[in-house]
Amino acid sequence: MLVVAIGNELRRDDGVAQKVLEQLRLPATVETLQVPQFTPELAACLAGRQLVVLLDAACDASQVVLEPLREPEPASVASTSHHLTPELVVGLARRLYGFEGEVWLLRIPAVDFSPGEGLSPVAKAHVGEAVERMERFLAEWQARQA
Amino acid sequence: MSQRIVIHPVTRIEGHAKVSIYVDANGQVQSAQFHVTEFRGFEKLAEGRPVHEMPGLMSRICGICPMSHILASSKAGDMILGVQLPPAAQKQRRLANYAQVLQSHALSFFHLSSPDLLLGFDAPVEKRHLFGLAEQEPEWVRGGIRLRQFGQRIIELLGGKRIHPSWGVPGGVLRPLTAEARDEILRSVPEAIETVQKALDRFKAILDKFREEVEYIGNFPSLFMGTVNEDGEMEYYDGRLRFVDSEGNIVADGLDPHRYFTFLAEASEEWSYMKFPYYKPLGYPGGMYRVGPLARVNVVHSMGTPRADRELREFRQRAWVVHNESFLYHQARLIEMMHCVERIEELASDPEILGEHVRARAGINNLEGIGSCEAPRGTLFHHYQVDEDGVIRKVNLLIATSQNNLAMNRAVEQAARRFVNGNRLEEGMLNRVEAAIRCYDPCLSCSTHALGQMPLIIELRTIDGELLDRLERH
Repeated sequence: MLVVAIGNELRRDDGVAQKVLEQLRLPATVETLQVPQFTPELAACLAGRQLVVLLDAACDASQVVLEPLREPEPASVASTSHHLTPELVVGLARRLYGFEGEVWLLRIPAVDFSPGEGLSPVAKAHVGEAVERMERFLAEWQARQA
Repeated sequence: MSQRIVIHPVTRIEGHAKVSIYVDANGQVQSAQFHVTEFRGFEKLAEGRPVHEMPGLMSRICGICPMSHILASSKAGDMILGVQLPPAAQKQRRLANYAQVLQSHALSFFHLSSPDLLLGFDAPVEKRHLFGLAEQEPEWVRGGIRLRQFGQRIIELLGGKRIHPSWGVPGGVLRPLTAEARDEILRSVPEAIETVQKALDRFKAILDKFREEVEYIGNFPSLFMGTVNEDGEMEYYDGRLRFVDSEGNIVADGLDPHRYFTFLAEASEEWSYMKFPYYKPLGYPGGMYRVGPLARVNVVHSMGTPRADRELREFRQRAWVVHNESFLYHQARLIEMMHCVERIEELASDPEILGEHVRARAGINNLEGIGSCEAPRGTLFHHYQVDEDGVIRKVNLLIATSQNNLAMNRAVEQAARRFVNGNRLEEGMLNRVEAAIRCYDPCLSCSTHALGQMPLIIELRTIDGELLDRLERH
């Protein structure tokens, strides 16, 4: 299993995923990664995994959402390395590395992406819930595999 | 006559910008502008911070070339402390520099530019991207990923993280390199050389398909600037600056980067957040110069490593004296990648790089520090002024990409004049305008010291400025 926290900690709420990751109590079978943005090499990191969970700040979410990731539509592919989407990275992983695992996206409400450190009250208020949802999800997922 | 064009977006560059194309009543392109629409403000953000924090802070300017900012910032700090680095620290920093250039060039060539080169500039836009390339050329895309992973892994082995490592500091680096890490690096070198060589061979084989693009995308005379060592060889970390003109004549040589402000200045235009650096003796805009891979291979006598030198000799056989064609930034980038891998092997094989003493310590001995290095896109300068406690009072950053601003504008206009017909707009025409920018692999987030969210836009306007059409991508 792989948990990836995406975001830039010097852009306030963009670093909320890293804050969630810091507080997660994870079993030894779970590897973690922290990256500032999605890049093509992430596709290689997904290879061979049964489960990948991506943690990301969401400016369009008012509550914590944990949902399965949809496959990319080629026409909607963004193509700058500052703008790769999780869907594209997963699509690359499936095409280039035969990745067949599940991918889930944990979206954490975020409102302030200005340069600076520290979370807004909105993002801070959702960290605890995000941690709880993740830990519950991972425990349930592992129980299903057993 | 009004036309409606929808391009969705100007793509495959780092960051966000806009292109305006001005056409006359006959639909013929008269001029074009490349606007950068982001603002960031790291120079102001850094005021009041301690100088020891600066490498870590400045690395956050960019997620693609953070190590270059760490190196330039650390070197500015070295000058403020007034120290000489231990040999192991110097070599680690050089190793990081080569790794940074390698991984950034790999991203630019394999992922951003290869869709055009291998699928064609006129390939359907819904296919002409990384995902489409992965469908047709999976091993090519995997090769690019592996090269980038190699460069990033070196940075991780040195600094603990692939991006924004806490590692470079004024006076040296934070930790020695272990023998195990060194061995891992050396094990990966043969595959990296093979991947780069295959890419070079493939590019050379297909180059003749792009005669029109070579001729008309950014082919114009200019100065070129780069760093060389005392033997006139390619030098990324520590050397002197050299300018050559479009006929290969050395215009200025042995210039001290610490006195960059005596021969470089910056202009600004109201229609772009990115500044316009120029070579002072020739004024603005006549002092346009280019930096980065093509400029570097033009200014050096040689690369200094055997495989890269072989490629450079072949590259130069195509040129009159030096190459002025922006399209050949791609080949220069590949030559540099080979050079980087060769230097990585050299440095990793040097026992001195494992030295335990990696940091020189001192108080504040100078109130001003300037650090420069060759970043993937060109020469990078960090200039700091501090108080007696080492608190930053003023920062000036002269970013590689901004130094190509004048040239990028010229390239965009030339491509637009050749390939865009205002009476009959086709997507491939506008892709070639984008390609003009893409040759330079600009990092707009660095060069405006900003990180924006705006899409890249192409606007078609009359010479009076009336908007005819607009292409926008998200």
